[in-house]
Amino acid sequence: MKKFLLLAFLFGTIVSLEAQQCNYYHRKNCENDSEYKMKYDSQSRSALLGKGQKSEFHLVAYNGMDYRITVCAEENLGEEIHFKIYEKQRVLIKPEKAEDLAVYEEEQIDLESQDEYADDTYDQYSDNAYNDSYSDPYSDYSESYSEETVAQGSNEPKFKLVKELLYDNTSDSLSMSLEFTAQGTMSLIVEISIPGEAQTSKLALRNMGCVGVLVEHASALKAGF
Amino acid sequence: MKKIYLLLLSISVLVACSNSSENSNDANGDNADSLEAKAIEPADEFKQQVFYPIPSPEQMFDFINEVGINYSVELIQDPANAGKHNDPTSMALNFGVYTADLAYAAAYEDIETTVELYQIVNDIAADMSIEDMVDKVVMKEVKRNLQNRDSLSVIAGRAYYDAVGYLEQNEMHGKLALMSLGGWIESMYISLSSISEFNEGSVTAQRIADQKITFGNLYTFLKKYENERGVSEATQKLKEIRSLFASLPEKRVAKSSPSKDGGKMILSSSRKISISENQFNILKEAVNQYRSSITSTAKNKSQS
Repeated sequence: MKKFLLLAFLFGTIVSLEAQQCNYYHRKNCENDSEYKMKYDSQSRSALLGKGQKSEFHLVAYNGMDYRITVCAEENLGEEIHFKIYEKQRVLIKPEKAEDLAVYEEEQIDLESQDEYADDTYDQYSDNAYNDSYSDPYSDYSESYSEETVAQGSNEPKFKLVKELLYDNTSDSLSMSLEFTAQGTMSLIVEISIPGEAQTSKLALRNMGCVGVLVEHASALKAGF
Repeated sequence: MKKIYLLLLSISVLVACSNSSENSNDANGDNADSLEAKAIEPADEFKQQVFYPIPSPEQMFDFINEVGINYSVELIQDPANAGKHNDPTSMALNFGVYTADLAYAAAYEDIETTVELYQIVNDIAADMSIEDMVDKVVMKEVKRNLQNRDSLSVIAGRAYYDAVGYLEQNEMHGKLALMSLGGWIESMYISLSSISEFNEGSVTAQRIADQKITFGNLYTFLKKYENERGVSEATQKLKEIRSLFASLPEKRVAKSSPSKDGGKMILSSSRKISISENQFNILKEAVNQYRSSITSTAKNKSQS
Protein backbone atom coordinates (compact mmCIF):
# COMPACT_ATOMS: atom_id res chain seq x y z
CA MET A 1 0.00 0.00 0.00
CA LYS A 2 2.81 2.35 0.91
CA LYS A 3 4.53 1.56 -2.37
CA PHE A 4 1.34 2.33 -4.26
CA LEU A 5 0.87 5.65 -2.49
CA LEU A 6 4.46 6.57 -3.10
CA LEU A 7 4.24 5.74 -6.79
CA ALA A 8 0.95 7.60 -7.10
CA PHE A 9 2.49 10.56 -5.32
CA LEU A 10 5.51 10.57 -7.59
CA PHE A 11 3.31 10.26 -10.64
CA GLY A 12 1.10 13.12 -9.53
CA THR A 13 4.12 15.31 -8.93
CA ILE A 14 5.69 14.46 -12.27
CA VAL A 15 2.44 15.05 -14.17
CA SER A 16 2.00 18.36 -12.41
CA LEU A 17 5.51 19.43 -13.36
CA GLU A 18 5.05 18.22 -16.92
CA ALA A 19 1.87 20.26 -17.18
CA GLN A 20 3.73 23.34 -16.00
CA GLN A 21 6.49 22.74 -18.52
CA CYS A 22 3.86 22.83 -21.27
CA ASN A 23 2.68 26.35 -20.46
CA TYR A 24 4.93 28.12 -22.93
CA TYR A 25 4.97 25.31 -25.48
CA HIS A 26 2.92 27.20 -28.09
CA ARG A 27 5.27 30.17 -28.01
CA LYS A 28 8.31 28.17 -28.94
CA ASN A 29 6.87 25.46 -31.13
CA CYS A 30 3.81 26.71 -33.01
CA GLU A 31 5.53 29.36 -35.07
CA ASN A 32 4.65 29.39 -38.74
CA ASP A 33 6.41 30.84 -41.72
CA SER A 34 3.43 32.66 -43.19
CA GLU A 35 4.18 35.92 -44.93
CA TYR A 36 1.05 37.38 -43.39
CA LYS A 37 2.32 38.68 -40.07
CA MET A 38 -0.20 38.80 -37.26
CA LYS A 39 -0.02 39.78 -33.59
CA TYR A 40 0.23 37.23 -30.82
CA ASP A 41 -3.14 36.78 -29.13
CA SER A 42 -3.33 36.30 -25.37
CA GLN A 43 -5.91 33.58 -25.90
CA SER A 44 -3.13 31.21 -26.96
CA ARG A 45 -2.68 28.27 -24.62
CA SER A 46 -0.79 25.00 -24.14
CA ALA A 47 -1.76 21.89 -22.24
CA LEU A 48 -0.49 18.47 -21.33
CA LEU A 49 -2.58 15.88 -23.14
CA GLY A 50 -2.52 12.14 -23.54
CA LYS A 51 -3.56 9.84 -26.35
CA GLY A 52 -7.30 9.49 -26.55
CA GLN A 53 -7.80 12.77 -24.74
CA LYS A 54 -9.70 15.88 -25.79
CA SER A 55 -9.30 19.48 -24.75
CA GLU A 56 -11.36 22.59 -25.39
CA PHE A 57 -10.13 26.15 -25.74
CA HIS A 58 -12.90 28.76 -25.63
CA LEU A 59 -12.00 31.81 -27.67
CA VAL A 60 -13.57 35.07 -28.74
CA ALA A 61 -13.11 36.13 -32.36
CA TYR A 62 -14.10 39.74 -33.01
CA ASN A 63 -15.95 40.91 -36.07
CA GLY A 64 -13.75 42.09 -38.91
CA MET A 65 -10.55 40.57 -37.55
CA ASP A 66 -8.32 38.05 -39.24
CA TYR A 67 -7.22 35.13 -37.12
CA ARG A 68 -4.72 32.35 -37.51
CA ILE A 69 -4.96 29.31 -35.25
CA THR A 70 -1.93 27.03 -35.31
CA VAL A 71 -1.84 23.75 -33.43
CA CYS A 72 1.38 21.94 -32.59
CA ALA A 73 2.19 18.93 -30.48
CA GLU A 74 5.10 16.84 -29.27
CA GLU A 75 6.15 14.00 -31.53
CA ASN A 76 5.22 11.21 -29.16
CA LEU A 77 1.55 12.12 -29.56
CA GLY A 78 1.70 11.13 -33.21
CA GLU A 79 1.44 13.07 -36.41
CA GLU A 80 -2.33 13.12 -36.63
CA ILE A 81 -3.68 15.76 -34.28
CA HIS A 82 -7.34 16.45 -34.86
CA PHE A 83 -8.69 19.92 -34.34
CA LYS A 84 -12.14 21.27 -34.87
CA ILE A 85 -13.60 24.72 -34.52
CA TYR A 86 -17.14 25.17 -33.29
CA GLU A 87 -19.26 28.23 -32.79
CA LYS A 88 -20.87 28.22 -29.38
CA GLN A 89 -24.46 29.30 -29.28
CA ARG A 90 -27.17 29.44 -26.70
CA VAL A 91 -30.67 28.97 -27.96
CA LEU A 92 -34.03 29.32 -26.36
CA ILE A 93 -36.06 26.19 -25.92
CA LYS A 94 -39.30 25.30 -24.28
CA PRO A 95 -38.83 22.21 -22.18
CA GLU A 96 -42.14 20.51 -22.82
CA LYS A 97 -42.49 18.07 -25.66
CA ALA A 98 -39.41 17.15 -27.53
CA GLU A 99 -41.33 16.89 -30.80
CA ASP A 100 -42.42 20.53 -30.50
CA LEU A 101 -38.93 21.72 -29.85
CA ALA A 102 -37.86 22.40 -33.42
CA VAL A 103 -41.00 24.37 -34.21
CA TYR A 104 -40.75 26.28 -30.97
CA GLU A 105 -37.16 27.21 -31.64
CA GLU A 106 -38.05 28.56 -35.05
CA GLU A 107 -40.76 30.70 -33.51
CA GLN A 108 -38.85 31.91 -30.54
CA ILE A 109 -35.31 32.28 -31.61
CA ASP A 110 -35.74 35.71 -33.13
CA LEU A 111 -37.51 37.09 -30.13
CA GLU A 112 -35.67 40.06 -28.78
CA SER A 113 -37.01 39.43 -25.35
CA GLN A 114 -35.62 41.21 -22.35
CA ASP A 115 -36.92 38.34 -20.29
CA GLU A 116 -35.08 35.53 -21.98
CA TYR A 117 -32.21 35.89 -19.57
CA ALA A 118 -34.43 36.18 -16.54
CA ASP A 119 -34.45 32.43 -16.29
CA ASP A 120 -31.35 31.42 -14.44
CA THR A 121 -30.83 27.80 -15.14
CA TYR A 122 -28.20 28.04 -17.81
CA ASP A 123 -24.59 28.78 -18.60
CA GLN A 124 -22.53 31.86 -17.77
CA TYR A 125 -25.50 33.96 -16.84
CA SER A 126 -26.82 31.47 -14.39
CA ASP A 127 -26.18 31.34 -10.69
CA ASN A 128 -27.97 28.07 -10.21
CA ALA A 129 -25.73 26.23 -12.61
CA TYR A 130 -22.89 26.74 -10.16
CA ASN A 131 -24.66 26.52 -6.83
CA ASP A 132 -23.29 23.21 -5.73
CA SER A 133 -19.91 23.20 -7.37
CA TYR A 134 -18.46 24.41 -10.60
CA SER A 135 -19.51 22.32 -13.49
CA ASP A 136 -18.52 23.08 -16.99
CA PRO A 137 -21.71 23.84 -18.83
CA TYR A 138 -20.15 23.01 -22.16
CA SER A 139 -18.70 19.63 -21.43
CA ASP A 140 -21.82 17.65 -22.21
CA TYR A 141 -22.10 18.37 -25.88
CA SER A 142 -23.04 15.56 -28.09
CA GLU A 143 -20.84 15.16 -31.12
CA SER A 144 -23.69 15.71 -33.54
CA TYR A 145 -24.91 19.14 -32.68
CA SER A 146 -26.34 19.90 -29.32
CA GLU A 147 -27.50 18.69 -26.04
CA GLU A 148 -29.84 20.26 -23.61
CA THR A 149 -28.04 21.32 -20.48
CA VAL A 150 -30.84 22.76 -18.41
CA ALA A 151 -32.95 21.32 -15.70
CA GLN A 152 -36.43 20.20 -16.52
CA GLY A 153 -39.60 20.64 -14.56
CA SER A 154 -40.48 24.26 -15.12
CA ASN A 155 -42.71 25.98 -17.64
CA GLU A 156 -40.40 28.95 -17.88
CA PRO A 157 -38.35 29.40 -21.03
CA LYS A 158 -35.11 27.46 -20.94
CA PHE A 159 -31.92 27.64 -22.88
CA LYS A 160 -29.63 25.04 -24.22
CA LEU A 161 -26.06 25.35 -25.29
CA VAL A 162 -25.20 24.18 -28.73
CA LYS A 163 -22.04 24.11 -30.72
CA GLU A 164 -22.00 24.18 -34.47
CA LEU A 165 -19.09 22.72 -36.35
CA LEU A 166 -17.33 25.30 -38.53
CA TYR A 167 -14.10 23.55 -39.35
CA ASP A 168 -12.63 20.09 -39.09
CA ASN A 169 -9.03 19.51 -40.08
CA THR A 170 -9.76 15.88 -40.96
CA SER A 171 -11.53 17.35 -44.01
CA ASP A 172 -8.57 19.59 -44.73
CA SER A 173 -5.66 17.16 -45.06
CA LEU A 174 -5.07 17.31 -41.31
CA SER A 175 -3.85 20.86 -41.66
CA MET A 176 -2.43 22.18 -38.40
CA SER A 177 -3.16 25.81 -39.16
CA LEU A 178 -6.21 27.80 -40.20
CA GLU A 179 -6.50 31.41 -41.26
CA PHE A 180 -9.93 33.01 -41.31
CA THR A 181 -11.78 36.29 -41.17
CA ALA A 182 -14.48 36.60 -38.53
CA GLN A 183 -17.72 37.91 -39.97
CA GLY A 184 -19.53 38.87 -36.81
CA THR A 185 -18.14 38.36 -33.33
CA MET A 186 -18.07 34.71 -32.42
CA SER A 187 -17.69 32.60 -29.36
CA LEU A 188 -15.53 29.75 -30.59
CA ILE A 189 -14.41 26.45 -29.20
CA VAL A 190 -11.19 24.97 -30.52
CA GLU A 191 -11.38 21.28 -29.74
CA ILE A 192 -8.15 19.32 -29.85
CA SER A 193 -8.22 15.55 -29.77
CA ILE A 194 -5.31 13.18 -29.75
CA PRO A 195 -6.03 9.96 -31.62
CA GLY A 196 -5.24 6.77 -29.81
CA GLU A 197 -6.52 4.58 -27.12
CA ALA A 198 -7.71 6.39 -24.05
CA GLN A 199 -5.51 6.06 -21.00
CA THR A 200 -6.15 2.96 -19.00
CA SER A 201 -2.95 3.07 -17.05
CA LYS A 202 -2.18 5.93 -14.75
CA LEU A 203 1.51 5.52 -15.39
CA ALA A 204 1.56 6.02 -19.14
CA LEU A 205 3.55 9.22 -19.20
CA ARG A 206 5.17 8.28 -22.47
CA ASN A 207 1.76 8.64 -24.07
CA MET A 208 1.45 12.22 -22.90
CA GLY A 209 2.87 15.35 -24.40
CA CYS A 210 2.49 19.08 -24.78
CA VAL A 211 -0.05 20.50 -27.20
CA GLY A 212 -0.02 24.17 -28.11
CA VAL A 213 -2.70 26.35 -29.64
CA LEU A 214 -1.20 29.55 -30.99
CA VAL A 215 -3.78 32.22 -31.75
CA GLU A 216 -2.78 35.28 -33.75
CA HIS A 217 -4.86 38.19 -34.98
CA ALA A 218 -4.72 41.16 -37.28
CA SER A 219 -7.18 43.81 -38.26
CA ALA A 220 -8.83 42.74 -41.49
CA LEU A 221 -9.51 46.41 -42.14
CA LYS A 222 -5.80 47.11 -42.31
CA ALA A 223 -5.34 44.10 -44.55
CA GLY A 224 -7.90 45.47 -46.97
CA PHE A 225 -10.98 43.47 -45.96
CA MET B 1 15.21 -0.09 -0.79
CA LYS B 2 13.48 2.14 1.71
CA LYS B 3 16.30 4.63 1.37
CA ILE B 4 15.77 4.80 -2.36
CA TYR B 5 12.06 5.48 -1.90
CA LEU B 6 12.82 8.14 0.68
CA LEU B 7 15.37 9.73 -1.61
CA LEU B 8 12.92 9.77 -4.51
CA LEU B 9 10.24 11.20 -2.27
CA SER B 10 12.53 13.96 -1.02
CA ILE B 11 13.66 14.86 -4.52
CA SER B 12 10.12 15.04 -5.84
CA VAL B 13 9.02 17.23 -2.92
CA LEU B 14 11.96 19.57 -3.40
CA VAL B 15 11.41 19.83 -7.14
CA ALA B 16 7.71 20.42 -6.73
CA CYS B 17 8.31 23.14 -4.15
CA SER B 18 10.93 24.90 -6.21
CA ASN B 19 8.79 24.88 -9.33
CA SER B 20 5.67 26.06 -7.66
CA SER B 21 6.39 28.15 -4.64
CA GLU B 22 2.74 29.11 -4.68
CA ASN B 23 1.83 25.62 -3.58
CA SER B 24 3.76 25.87 -0.38
CA ASN B 25 3.34 29.48 0.59
CA ASP B 26 0.27 30.78 -1.05
CA ALA B 27 -1.05 34.16 -0.14
CA ASN B 28 -3.89 33.78 -2.58
CA GLY B 29 -5.25 30.49 -1.40
CA ASP B 30 -4.03 28.75 -4.51
CA ASN B 31 -2.92 25.64 -2.70
CA ALA B 32 -6.28 23.91 -2.87
CA ASP B 33 -4.81 21.32 -5.18
CA SER B 34 -2.45 19.94 -2.64
CA LEU B 35 0.19 17.46 -3.58
CA GLU B 36 -1.65 14.89 -1.53
CA ALA B 37 -4.81 15.37 -3.56
CA LYS B 38 -2.83 15.00 -6.77
CA ALA B 39 -1.28 11.82 -5.48
CA ILE B 40 -4.61 10.26 -4.70
CA GLU B 41 -6.29 11.15 -7.97
CA PRO B 42 -3.75 11.48 -10.73
CA ALA B 43 -6.45 10.36 -13.15
CA ASP B 44 -7.79 13.92 -13.08
CA GLU B 45 -4.98 14.80 -15.43
CA PHE B 46 -6.59 12.65 -18.08
CA LYS B 47 -9.98 14.28 -17.93
CA GLN B 48 -10.99 16.70 -20.63
CA GLN B 49 -9.39 20.04 -20.01
CA VAL B 50 -11.30 23.24 -20.70
CA PHE B 51 -9.72 26.68 -20.97
CA TYR B 52 -11.45 30.06 -20.92
CA PRO B 53 -8.88 32.65 -21.98
CA ILE B 54 -10.14 36.12 -22.81
CA PRO B 55 -8.78 38.65 -25.30
CA SER B 56 -6.23 41.03 -23.78
CA PRO B 57 -7.15 44.70 -23.15
CA GLU B 58 -4.74 45.61 -25.92
CA GLN B 59 -7.23 44.38 -28.52
CA MET B 60 -9.91 46.76 -27.27
CA PHE B 61 -7.52 49.71 -27.35
CA ASP B 62 -6.29 48.83 -30.82
CA PHE B 63 -9.92 48.86 -31.90
CA ILE B 64 -10.92 52.22 -30.38
CA ASN B 65 -7.72 53.74 -31.76
CA GLU B 66 -8.49 52.36 -35.20
CA VAL B 67 -12.03 53.80 -35.24
CA GLY B 68 -10.69 57.23 -34.36
CA ILE B 69 -11.53 57.57 -30.68
CA ASN B 70 -9.22 60.07 -29.00
CA TYR B 71 -6.72 59.29 -26.27
CA SER B 72 -7.26 60.73 -22.84
CA VAL B 73 -4.46 60.27 -20.32
CA GLU B 74 -6.81 61.38 -17.53
CA LEU B 75 -8.64 58.07 -17.79
CA ILE B 76 -5.59 56.16 -16.64
CA GLN B 77 -5.58 55.20 -12.97
CA ASP B 78 -3.41 57.54 -10.94
CA PRO B 79 0.07 55.95 -10.79
CA ALA B 80 0.49 57.44 -7.31
CA ASN B 81 -2.11 54.98 -6.02
CA ALA B 82 -0.24 51.95 -7.27
CA GLY B 83 1.55 51.22 -4.00
CA LYS B 84 -1.47 51.79 -1.80
CA HIS B 85 -3.15 48.45 -2.33
CA ASN B 86 -2.03 46.08 0.35
CA ASP B 87 -4.23 43.03 0.36
CA PRO B 88 -3.58 40.28 -2.22
CA THR B 89 -7.01 40.54 -3.88
CA SER B 90 -6.75 44.28 -4.38
CA MET B 91 -3.20 43.96 -5.63
CA ALA B 92 -4.16 41.35 -8.22
CA LEU B 93 -7.14 43.39 -9.45
CA ASN B 94 -5.07 46.55 -9.71
CA PHE B 95 -2.26 44.68 -11.38
CA GLY B 96 -4.79 44.00 -14.12
CA VAL B 97 -5.91 47.62 -14.12
CA TYR B 98 -2.40 49.00 -14.56
CA THR B 99 -1.51 46.36 -17.16
CA ALA B 100 -4.52 47.55 -19.17
CA ASP B 101 -3.48 51.18 -18.68
CA LEU B 102 -0.05 50.26 -19.97
CA ALA B 103 -1.60 48.73 -23.09
CA TYR B 104 -3.76 51.84 -23.54
CA ALA B 105 -0.82 54.25 -23.35
CA ALA B 106 1.22 52.06 -25.69
CA ALA B 107 -1.62 51.73 -28.23
CA TYR B 108 -1.80 55.51 -28.45
CA GLU B 109 2.00 55.88 -28.47
CA ASP B 110 2.19 57.89 -25.26
CA ILE B 111 5.79 56.96 -24.69
CA GLU B 112 6.36 58.76 -21.41
CA THR B 113 3.28 57.24 -19.74
CA THR B 114 4.06 53.81 -21.18
CA VAL B 115 7.49 53.77 -19.59
CA GLU B 116 6.11 55.02 -16.27
CA LEU B 117 3.36 52.38 -16.27
CA TYR B 118 5.77 49.63 -17.25
CA GLN B 119 7.76 50.39 -14.12
CA ILE B 120 4.58 50.45 -12.03
CA VAL B 121 3.46 47.09 -13.38
CA ASN B 122 6.86 45.68 -12.47
CA ASP B 123 6.63 47.19 -8.98
CA ILE B 124 3.21 45.66 -8.35
CA ALA B 125 4.51 42.35 -9.66
CA ALA B 126 7.26 42.55 -7.05
CA ASP B 127 4.70 43.35 -4.33
CA MET B 128 2.75 40.29 -5.44
CA SER B 129 5.93 38.19 -5.30
CA ILE B 130 5.68 37.44 -8.99
CA GLU B 131 8.51 39.66 -10.10
CA ASP B 132 10.16 36.68 -11.74
CA MET B 133 7.73 37.15 -14.59
CA VAL B 134 9.59 40.30 -15.49
CA ASP B 135 12.33 39.60 -17.89
CA LYS B 136 15.21 41.88 -17.07
CA VAL B 137 16.10 41.87 -20.74
CA VAL B 138 12.67 43.27 -21.56
CA MET B 139 13.17 46.21 -19.19
CA LYS B 140 16.37 47.04 -21.03
CA GLU B 141 14.48 46.74 -24.31
CA VAL B 142 11.92 49.26 -23.07
CA LYS B 143 14.62 51.77 -22.33
CA ARG B 144 16.39 51.07 -25.60
CA ASN B 145 13.19 51.37 -27.66
CA LEU B 146 11.85 54.61 -26.28
CA GLN B 147 11.60 56.08 -29.74
CA ASN B 148 10.45 52.95 -31.47
CA ARG B 149 6.69 53.14 -31.12
CA ASP B 150 5.87 49.78 -32.69
CA SER B 151 8.31 47.97 -30.43
CA LEU B 152 6.90 49.75 -27.40
CA SER B 153 3.42 48.45 -28.17
CA VAL B 154 4.73 44.92 -28.59
CA ILE B 155 6.64 45.15 -25.31
CA ALA B 156 3.58 46.50 -23.49
CA GLY B 157 1.54 43.58 -24.82
CA ARG B 158 4.22 41.20 -23.72
CA ALA B 159 3.87 42.39 -20.11
CA TYR B 160 0.31 41.03 -20.16
CA TYR B 161 1.23 37.77 -21.86
CA ASP B 162 4.17 37.23 -19.52
CA ALA B 163 1.95 37.79 -16.52
CA VAL B 164 -0.64 35.32 -17.85
CA GLY B 165 2.05 32.76 -18.62
CA TYR B 166 3.76 33.13 -15.27
CA LEU B 167 0.57 32.93 -13.23
CA GLU B 168 -0.55 29.85 -15.17
CA GLN B 169 2.79 28.15 -14.86
CA ASN B 170 2.76 28.61 -11.13
CA GLU B 171 -0.88 27.59 -10.85
CA MET B 172 -1.90 30.96 -9.42
CA HIS B 173 -5.31 30.69 -11.05
CA GLY B 174 -7.02 32.92 -8.52
CA LYS B 175 -4.61 35.75 -9.14
CA LEU B 176 -4.88 35.24 -12.88
CA ALA B 177 -8.68 35.40 -12.70
CA LEU B 178 -8.55 38.62 -10.68
CA MET B 179 -5.92 40.14 -12.93
CA SER B 180 -8.03 39.29 -16.00
CA LEU B 181 -11.06 40.85 -14.35
CA GLY B 182 -9.15 44.02 -13.43
CA GLY B 183 -7.79 44.31 -16.96
CA TRP B 184 -11.17 43.79 -18.57
CA ILE B 185 -12.88 46.30 -16.27
CA GLU B 186 -10.22 48.92 -17.03
CA SER B 187 -10.45 48.36 -20.78
CA MET B 188 -14.23 48.73 -20.58
CA TYR B 189 -13.98 51.81 -18.35
CA ILE B 190 -11.61 53.54 -20.75
CA SER B 191 -13.55 52.53 -23.85
CA LEU B 192 -16.98 53.47 -22.49
CA SER B 193 -15.69 56.77 -21.10
CA SER B 194 -14.01 57.61 -24.40
CA ILE B 195 -17.16 57.28 -26.49
CA SER B 196 -18.52 60.81 -26.49
CA GLU B 197 -21.56 60.12 -28.63
CA PHE B 198 -23.39 56.80 -28.73
CA ASN B 199 -24.63 55.70 -32.14
CA GLU B 200 -26.73 52.60 -32.05
CA GLY B 201 -25.72 50.31 -34.87
CA SER B 202 -22.22 51.76 -35.19
CA VAL B 203 -19.18 49.48 -35.20
CA THR B 204 -18.23 50.90 -31.82
CA ALA B 205 -21.62 50.11 -30.29
CA GLN B 206 -21.40 46.64 -31.82
CA ARG B 207 -18.00 46.02 -30.23
CA ILE B 208 -19.39 47.08 -26.84
CA ALA B 209 -22.38 44.76 -27.29
CA ASP B 210 -20.04 41.95 -28.30
CA GLN B 211 -18.37 42.23 -24.92
CA LYS B 212 -21.28 40.09 -23.75
CA ILE B 213 -19.40 37.15 -25.24
CA THR B 214 -16.07 38.11 -23.70
CA PHE B 215 -17.73 38.72 -20.35
CA GLY B 216 -19.37 35.31 -20.61
CA ASN B 217 -15.98 33.60 -20.88
CA LEU B 218 -14.52 35.79 -18.14
CA TYR B 219 -17.43 35.03 -15.83
CA THR B 220 -17.10 31.30 -16.43
CA PHE B 221 -13.38 31.54 -15.73
CA LEU B 222 -14.05 33.39 -12.47
CA LYS B 223 -16.66 30.85 -11.41
CA LYS B 224 -14.23 28.05 -12.09
CA TYR B 225 -11.83 29.49 -9.54
CA GLU B 226 -14.29 31.09 -7.15
CA ASN B 227 -12.95 29.07 -4.25
CA GLU B 228 -9.66 30.90 -4.45
CA ARG B 229 -9.13 33.92 -2.27
CA GLY B 230 -11.02 37.03 -3.26
CA VAL B 231 -12.49 35.60 -6.47
CA SER B 232 -15.95 34.86 -5.13
CA GLU B 233 -16.33 38.35 -3.64
CA ALA B 234 -15.10 40.00 -6.81
CA THR B 235 -17.48 37.88 -8.89
CA GLN B 236 -20.50 38.63 -6.74
CA LYS B 237 -19.92 42.33 -7.21
CA LEU B 238 -20.35 41.84 -10.97
CA LYS B 239 -24.07 41.31 -10.53
CA GLU B 240 -25.14 44.59 -12.17
CA ILE B 241 -22.80 44.22 -15.12
CA ARG B 242 -23.89 40.64 -15.63
CA SER B 243 -27.56 41.58 -15.45
CA LEU B 244 -27.04 44.27 -18.04
CA PHE B 245 -25.27 41.89 -20.42
CA ALA B 246 -27.97 39.32 -19.83
CA SER B 247 -30.55 41.86 -20.93
CA LEU B 248 -28.87 42.56 -24.28
CA PRO B 249 -31.00 41.03 -27.00
CA GLU B 250 -29.53 38.46 -29.33
CA LYS B 251 -30.90 37.95 -32.77
CA ARG B 252 -30.17 34.99 -34.92
CA VAL B 253 -28.88 36.11 -38.28
CA ALA B 254 -28.62 34.46 -41.63
CA LYS B 255 -25.42 32.54 -41.65
CA SER B 256 -23.38 31.50 -44.59
CA SER B 257 -21.36 28.32 -44.61
CA PRO B 258 -17.64 28.63 -44.15
CA SER B 259 -16.38 29.90 -47.46
CA LYS B 260 -13.24 31.13 -49.06
CA ASP B 261 -12.84 34.65 -50.34
CA GLY B 262 -9.77 34.35 -52.49
CA GLY B 263 -7.38 32.47 -50.27
CA LYS B 264 -9.09 33.56 -47.10
CA MET B 265 -11.66 31.52 -45.23
CA ILE B 266 -14.66 33.42 -43.92
CA LEU B 267 -16.36 32.18 -40.79
CA SER B 268 -19.61 33.93 -40.02
CA SER B 269 -21.47 34.24 -36.76
CA SER B 270 -25.04 33.10 -36.38
CA ARG B 271 -26.03 35.71 -33.84
CA LYS B 272 -25.97 39.43 -33.46
CA ILE B 273 -26.06 41.14 -30.09
CA SER B 274 -27.26 44.71 -29.84
CA ILE B 275 -27.22 47.43 -27.23
CA SER B 276 -29.43 50.50 -26.86
CA GLU B 277 -28.28 53.90 -25.66
CA ASN B 278 -30.03 53.37 -22.34
CA GLN B 279 -28.32 50.00 -21.86
CA PHE B 280 -25.02 51.58 -22.85
CA ASN B 281 -25.43 54.22 -20.13
CA ILE B 282 -26.39 51.62 -17.53
CA LEU B 283 -23.36 49.53 -18.46
CA LYS B 284 -21.09 52.57 -18.31
CA GLU B 285 -22.34 53.44 -14.83
CA ALA B 286 -22.01 49.86 -13.59
CA VAL B 287 -18.46 49.57 -14.93
CA ASN B 288 -17.52 52.96 -13.42
CA GLN B 289 -18.79 51.85 -10.04
CA TYR B 290 -16.98 48.55 -10.20
CA ARG B 291 -13.78 50.23 -11.29
CA SER B 292 -14.04 52.75 -8.44
CA SER B 293 -14.52 49.93 -5.95
CA ILE B 294 -11.31 48.22 -6.98
CA THR B 295 -9.09 51.22 -7.60
CA SER B 296 -9.99 53.25 -4.53
CA THR B 297 -7.33 52.99 -1.86
CA ALA B 298 -7.90 52.04 1.76
CA LYS B 299 -7.77 55.73 2.73
CA ASN B 300 -10.39 56.70 0.19
CA LYS B 301 -12.60 53.80 1.21
CA SER B 302 -12.56 54.87 4.85
CA GLN B 303 -13.46 58.43 3.89
CA SER B 304 -16.42 57.41 1.77
